[in-house]
Amino acid sequence: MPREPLDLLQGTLDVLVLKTLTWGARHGYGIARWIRDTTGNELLIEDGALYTSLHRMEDRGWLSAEWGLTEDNRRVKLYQLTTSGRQELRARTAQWTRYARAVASVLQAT
Amino acid sequence: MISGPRLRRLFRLPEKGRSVEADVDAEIAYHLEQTERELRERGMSDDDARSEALRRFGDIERFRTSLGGIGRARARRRRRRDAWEGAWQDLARSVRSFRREPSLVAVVALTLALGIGVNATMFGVVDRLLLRPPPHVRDDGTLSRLFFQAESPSFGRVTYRSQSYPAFDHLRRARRPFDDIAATFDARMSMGRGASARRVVVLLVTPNLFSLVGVTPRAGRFFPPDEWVSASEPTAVVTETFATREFGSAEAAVGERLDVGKLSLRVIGVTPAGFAGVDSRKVDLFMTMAAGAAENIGAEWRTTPNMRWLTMVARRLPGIDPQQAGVAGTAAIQRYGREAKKGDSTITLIAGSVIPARQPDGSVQGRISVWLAGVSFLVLLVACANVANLLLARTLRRRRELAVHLALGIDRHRLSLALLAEGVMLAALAGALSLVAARWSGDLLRSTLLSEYGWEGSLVDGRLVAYTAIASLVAGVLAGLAPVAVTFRVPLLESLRAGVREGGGRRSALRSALIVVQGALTVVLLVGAGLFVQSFTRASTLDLGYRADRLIIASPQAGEVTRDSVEREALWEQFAARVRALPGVVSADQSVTTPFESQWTAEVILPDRGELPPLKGGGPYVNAVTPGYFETMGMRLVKGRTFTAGDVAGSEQVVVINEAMARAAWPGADPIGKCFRTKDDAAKDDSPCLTIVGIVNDVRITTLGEAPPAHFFAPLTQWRPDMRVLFVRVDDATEPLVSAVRRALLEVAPALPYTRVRPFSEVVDVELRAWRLGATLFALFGALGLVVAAIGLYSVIAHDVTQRRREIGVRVALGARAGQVVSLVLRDGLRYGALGLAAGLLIAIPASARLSALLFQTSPHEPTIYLLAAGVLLAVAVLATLVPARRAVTVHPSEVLREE
Repeated sequence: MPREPLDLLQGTLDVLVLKTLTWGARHGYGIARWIRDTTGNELLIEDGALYTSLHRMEDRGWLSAEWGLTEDNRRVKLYQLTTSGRQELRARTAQWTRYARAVASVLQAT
Repeated sequence: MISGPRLRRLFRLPEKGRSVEADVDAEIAYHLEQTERELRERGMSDDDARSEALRRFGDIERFRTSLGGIGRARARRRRRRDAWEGAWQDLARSVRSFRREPSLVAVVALTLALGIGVNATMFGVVDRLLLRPPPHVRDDGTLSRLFFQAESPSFGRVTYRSQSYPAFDHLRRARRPFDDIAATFDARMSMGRGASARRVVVLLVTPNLFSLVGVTPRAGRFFPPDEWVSASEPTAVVTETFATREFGSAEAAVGERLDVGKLSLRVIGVTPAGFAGVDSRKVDLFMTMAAGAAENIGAEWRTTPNMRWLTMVARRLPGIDPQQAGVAGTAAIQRYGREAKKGDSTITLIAGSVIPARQPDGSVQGRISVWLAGVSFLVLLVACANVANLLLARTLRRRRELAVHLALGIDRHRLSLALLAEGVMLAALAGALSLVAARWSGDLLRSTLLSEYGWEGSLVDGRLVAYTAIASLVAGVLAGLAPVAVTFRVPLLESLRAGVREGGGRRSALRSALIVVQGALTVVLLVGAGLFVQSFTRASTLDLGYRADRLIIASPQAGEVTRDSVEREALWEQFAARVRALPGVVSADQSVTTPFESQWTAEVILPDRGELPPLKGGGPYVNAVTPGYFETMGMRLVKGRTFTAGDVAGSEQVVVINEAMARAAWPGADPIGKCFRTKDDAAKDDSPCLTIVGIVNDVRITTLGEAPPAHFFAPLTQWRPDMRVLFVRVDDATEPLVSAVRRALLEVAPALPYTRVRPFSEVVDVELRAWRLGATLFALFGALGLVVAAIGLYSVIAHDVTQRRREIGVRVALGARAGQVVSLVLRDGLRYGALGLAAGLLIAIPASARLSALLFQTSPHEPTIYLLAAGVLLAVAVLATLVPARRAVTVHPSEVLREE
């Protein structure tokens, strides 16, 4: 039996999505799948929230999106990191690491 | 999987035509499908997979809505950014293309600048003089200028502004409908003495004028509110212009002294720049009536009901509109009329506007100015049509470029906007140029044709700039619309096809129409110019009954030198004798009245028939003159004799009458030897009967337009009023003798105040002003229109000739002679001319009928003027066509055919 998945901390989804895209353009389903596989289903992410995050970041200019065709000729929207998206990812990663370290140091205090 | 960039390159689909919602739905659908497939592969049943995919996605409807919102906002922003970028690119492209064609830009900008400049100037003038309350006058809607209207069967309706002081006093004391009333009188007075004496314009005012109109002093103070009847010390308020000219600055003027007329005035205040009372005529200084009216009007100025000299401005009581004020004011003035037993018991009072254009007694000149402002709009239209035509030709030349734009996906809408923007850009340039032109021409107009108006500062102000901006925008849009029409009507993409040469194709109907419009408007302008020039010519060559050229009029104020009547007569004799002795002077004679400037009427009683009934044109007018007067004026003796040295104070009282009086009083009979009395004399028992000894020709003395009225003359030896002028006939140039005459008068009496000596033509000029204004500006507008239209026609024909080079070459190759080629082109030019002429006449004939009241002895449908306008237009059409026609002749068939 799998454990109950964790609720996602606010704003964390964005940074996950940005990270996912560092290996190249992907469509929404691909991103969702990658996150799920990588975390081993530990995180509870509504797929709708993922798309909201994608569209919002596209709107902010962190992602660029293009419509393309898959091998079986399906029209899909492909997302890609922009330069400012990469910067954002770096900043957020640093922020997240600091945060996690601070929380961990409190919890592990003896 | 294909990489993103490649996909993008290969299959990029236009953003347009696919909705944001469809994209969102496609994305979600794909996601759900893939999730389902994944779940099925893991062994879920179809139904379970679908419901699990949906569960994982969350609330689909909510996400659809929020994703759609994000997408739409984004699309909106992008569209806006694209539009701005596009507009910016289009502008930059237009500027680049303009820089490639500087001569076209220059012609277009100058043509439009002419049109807009003419308009702006006329708007500025009309706005300044007619559409605004006078400067510094606080017109909050409760201020009224008072007018009076009398109607009688013989003279029709007469509107006037002047009233007597008692009538003014009565109205003011009535307390209703006016809160307060102020009065003014425009006087010309002399400042200084002898050779340094000058004439100044003095506005006599009641002390409440300044506070009533709401003006505050620039320096010092205004008259104390109690100086109605007498002043403790004569004081003056001067205008800022006068203060600066005389004393250096407004502040320096306060406390200074001025010798004006017989008074020594202390300057107590200065009005702000531009203030000139309640009219816009020039003023130098202000005095209270208490100080100055006695000298200008007479000692009885406050009591006499017989002299109407002052004009009034009133503040209405709160809540009373002009209509109600008119009714209540009419009741008040009629009550006064009954009490004073004057004719005022039947007149109407009108509480009119302080804005000249809304006043009931508008001048001919004002009405002509308004017409001219309207007509200047035609010049602008001609300019617009011409510029539209030039831009149209340019667009046709650029059709290949435009076609490329269309092919690259720039839509017609954006292309049209860009073309429109080009027109507006050119018009903006023209607008800036025209402001410079308006400033310059406004100054010119002010110093020449409108010199009697006083206005401060440049014609260019906020209102004028706003007007110019609007006019430029409208002109730009009008001119830019024509090229826009082309992008919609001409199949541009065809011009990309091989075989259609650059600039090929049929002559555009729009271009032809624009040429015809220009011609038509020019005809209207030419007809207007013709009518006014004819009016001016008729007015200035009108037979006045005397010769106005080589005549000088001098008005020395002998009364200022001596009070004694015997000495005064001797002084007048000396004046005349000294002037007669000047080389170049033929004769010099005294007269009591001056044509157009002063008249004296008498009521005549015939011994056998009693009082002469009222005559059309008023009168009879009376004048007293020295014996040589008729010859000096160049009048003609019709019958009998003029006065001689034998007609003296004690001898038989004689008069000379004119033909109009002879016709009116003794129709069909010989008046010589008959006699009549005048009414004033008739009051006395022993009043003599004046015997008619001669008849002279009729003279115009009231206005140019009115037929010469009945008029009679008495010898100055038998009737000697104080009022007097000296007429001097010279045998050659008038101008140099003017100062010689003034010097001669000052030699006789060095103490004379400022003495007015003018060529008599100046007096007549004042009467001609309105028609001169109309004739000069109409002719100018007509000439501008003609030049612009000629350029337009030339450019169209030249363009045609270039296009038809091949056709002409073939014709020449087939044996066409030069004459035939020329006539081929000329026929085109003349056809445009004739069409324009026909259209123009259709407009001009009904429009000119409305001008008839402003013309002088000229019918608005005078055939010669129309023929002349037609001739001029066709001649210019031929001239504008000849140049390209000659170029057509030089076409060599071999060259043209080789170009294939």
